[in-house]
Amino acid sequence: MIFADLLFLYVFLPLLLIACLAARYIDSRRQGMGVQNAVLIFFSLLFYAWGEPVFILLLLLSVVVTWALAKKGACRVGIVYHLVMLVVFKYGNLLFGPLLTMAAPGSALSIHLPIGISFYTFQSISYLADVRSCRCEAQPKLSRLLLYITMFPQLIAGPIVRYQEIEKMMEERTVTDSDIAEGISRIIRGLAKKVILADQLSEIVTHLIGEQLPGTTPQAVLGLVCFSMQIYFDFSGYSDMAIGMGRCLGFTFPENFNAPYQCCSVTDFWRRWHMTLGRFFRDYVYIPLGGGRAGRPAVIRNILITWMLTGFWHGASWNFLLWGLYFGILLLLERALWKDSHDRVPAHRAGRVLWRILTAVLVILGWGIFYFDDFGRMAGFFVVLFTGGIVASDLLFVSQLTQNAFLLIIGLVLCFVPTERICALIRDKIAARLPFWCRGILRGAAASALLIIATLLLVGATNHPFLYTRF
Amino acid sequence: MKDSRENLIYIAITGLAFMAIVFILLLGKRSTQSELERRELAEFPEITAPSLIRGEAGPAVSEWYADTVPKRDRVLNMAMDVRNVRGIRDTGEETIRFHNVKELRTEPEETAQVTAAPAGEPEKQPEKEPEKTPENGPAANAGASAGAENAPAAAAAGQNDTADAETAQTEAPAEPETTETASAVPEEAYDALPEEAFTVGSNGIIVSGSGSNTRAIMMYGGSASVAKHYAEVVSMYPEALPGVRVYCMVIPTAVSYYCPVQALSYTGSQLDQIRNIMESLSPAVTGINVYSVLGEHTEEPIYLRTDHHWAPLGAYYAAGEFAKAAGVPFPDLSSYEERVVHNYCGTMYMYSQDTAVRDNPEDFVYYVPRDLTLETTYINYTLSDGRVAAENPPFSGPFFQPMNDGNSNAYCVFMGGDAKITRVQTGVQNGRRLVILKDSFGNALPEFLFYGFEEVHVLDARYFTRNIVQYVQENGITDVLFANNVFHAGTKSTAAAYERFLKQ
Repeated sequence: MIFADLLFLYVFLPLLLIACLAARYIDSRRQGMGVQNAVLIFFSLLFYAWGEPVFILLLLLSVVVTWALAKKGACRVGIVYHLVMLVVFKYGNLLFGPLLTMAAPGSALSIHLPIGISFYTFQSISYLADVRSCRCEAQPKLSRLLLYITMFPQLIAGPIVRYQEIEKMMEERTVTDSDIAEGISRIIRGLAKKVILADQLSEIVTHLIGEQLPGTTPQAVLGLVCFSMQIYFDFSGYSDMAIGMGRCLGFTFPENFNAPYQCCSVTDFWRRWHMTLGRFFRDYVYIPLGGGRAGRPAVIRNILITWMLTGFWHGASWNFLLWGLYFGILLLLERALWKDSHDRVPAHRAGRVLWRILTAVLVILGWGIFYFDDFGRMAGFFVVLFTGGIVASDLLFVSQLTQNAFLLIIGLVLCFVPTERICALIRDKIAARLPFWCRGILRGAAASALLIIATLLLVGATNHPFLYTRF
Repeated sequence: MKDSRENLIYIAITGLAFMAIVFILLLGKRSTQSELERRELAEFPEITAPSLIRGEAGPAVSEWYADTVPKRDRVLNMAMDVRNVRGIRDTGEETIRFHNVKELRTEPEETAQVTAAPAGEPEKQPEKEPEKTPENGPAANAGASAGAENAPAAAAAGQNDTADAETAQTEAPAEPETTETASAVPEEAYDALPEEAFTVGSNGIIVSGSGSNTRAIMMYGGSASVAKHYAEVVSMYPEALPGVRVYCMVIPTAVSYYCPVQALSYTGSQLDQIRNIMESLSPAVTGINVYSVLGEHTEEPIYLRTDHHWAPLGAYYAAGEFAKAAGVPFPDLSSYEERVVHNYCGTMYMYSQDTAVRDNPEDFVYYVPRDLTLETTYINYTLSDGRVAAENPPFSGPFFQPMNDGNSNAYCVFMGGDAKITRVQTGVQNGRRLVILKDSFGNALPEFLFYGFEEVHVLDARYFTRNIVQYVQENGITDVLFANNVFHAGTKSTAAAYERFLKQ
């Protein structure tokens, strides 16, 4: 199941709501969270089994293995198990397919990628690593670990939640009006990002750079900028929905995005983009390798390894490795240029402004590597991007620009303008003067309008799975 | 979110909106067909143990739920309205909006090979469902709602409506199987290019103009090499049908006459394609040039603005050219009663999803012979997954199927659609009997040929399952007219079908 789906939104969620209320009532009479947790596990497994009924066995096996090995103190074995599973199921076709073809010409390897495997294996690894390093204790109850790993809001596309972050919440949690209001707000915001922005932008992307290579530089630029916005709205929309649903259920998940395109440097970008993944690689790869405190060659090695792995995590294709390497090199460059700055930015104000602009350009160019998994098409795209030139009557470009002008403006503003700060300002200076009922009605009406618009767009739309569920 | 009372109001309002949608979706009557998309909507899937294990059941239920929302067409229209505020829509008469239009490119020669099935070999059908592109999307799944409205003939004869559900479809010009594309050069330059260089793929839709001048145009695509094969197959007919006159009419579409100058570089040249076909025909086949005569009447409504078809008036001028070549009487329009379906909006609205097309409907005008008594016999096909599964017994019905104003299937006024064999006895006694082998563009032709032939038989290239030689002999046919739009003529399956008719 995916979040941006009518059945999920308007059948699954109401059923879950009813079941949770009933479970809460039962739990309130007998103390504890047992029934609520059981309901959540049941719905999470149903959510996963909806599209992956066979691979739910792999998921359950993964949980049991993790639980048993952590209890036995064999965390290393568990980590190896998960890495092997990841390599086999995610990278098997890429790594072993050519070998099979060489050994038996005409045959091809076809291993199905179980949805969410990249996320739930990472959560399992993080749990095992934390138990091993005594950051947390092994969970004696299998059901608790099952809930931690399979909880549906974060099961298939994150955020990558650490065990310690929700350990207490699995034992005891309360849901306040504020939690529900905030949760609903995040869910609707996420849905709107996905359906109203990302899916509409994806049409421009497909048209300009997806179906065929662009013909001119403006087409390439517009296509790439739209993809940069699409992937942000798509993924951050998913994360918003996951965090919102978690909040409504009484869980506080870590944030995954913090206005990444408003970063001041590439280093800063990776502190704001897919933060839970960055945190994972920092804590479980980069620091164990020696981090940034080792000698220069070791630091270079550590950064390159970490970022190549980060890139490769995104998909079983060599372009992702290249994408990671690209960022690794950029990070090394920043480190070399501005080693005394925490954010890796120039000391002078003008330099900082320039570097901020250049960072945006470099990040967007990086999405070009990310988008094309065919190196020939990637090369063709960059050739057009840099040498395609401008045609006086580029009707295709002009048409896309004008037909989507408002969508592009809204997208660019939400990506590159500090709207959170502006909203806070409006809230403090204007909304605060309104009576509470007026604020409630205005916010409710706006959220309802977004919900209705997103629902309208979902009807009859081609199914657009969230991009990150592929990884 | 510090104020609890504010939060409660917020939760109440959003909760109400949410629950309202939940109840509408759960309790509303589920849609079963979409008139806008011209297709039957998904059916609730059969849940079996294998489908559950394969993981097909869950997504199929999700698809059914999303596909069959109550009042789907109304909701779709609202969604289009929302989508259309994404940008600047109307910039006056100079407006040109692109919908899936791409740059035309020269591809390496090897990509421009003929991919037609070898003679006599059945063409392999694609395994995948056709994607919902403007070219093949709604039309590929077309039929259900149109069939419901346009089945009087079948209903009158108590027929199974399966065929008519399909027959009412008005297919878009087919997308060519080859992936050939053309260089972005002015049309005049095509003559100087090697043959493969100007073969093009179907290339999206543009919407131009504003108000009552709004016009949606499908940019041209088609394969020169496949079209040449089409000409070769047509050229087999005179030999296979000795004594029968064979004609070939390749019908241009609106892009040939109404494409704004600025957008010309985004379409292939239909003139070159038609010339290519005509030059490749055997001398025994009479080529009917309708390109020129249509070009002389572009100020008149010879093409529909909101549909991918031509208008009956365009068919009238084309039929005149054919009648001239065939040497049969061809009275002027005063011999016909003009009938109008007002507020007609055709296929291009859903193909382009451009609300300007919907908001500027047109009149669909057709012509009924005043002083002829037509006896029309239909043999409907029962279709399964778009293919002929069975041929039903013959029955009589009207050639013209009345349509109400606003009916988006008005083009189905002729015979109610395509998936059938139609025989019209006109009452004329001149010993001339005509078979029209056609796609849906050919549906508008017969009405103007009833004065010239004592019988007119209409056979669709996509559905005819009999042997054409036998059919011609059994019915005493004297003239065979191939009438295909230029998209279809450049499509592999069309030539393959005509080749198969000689052997099946």
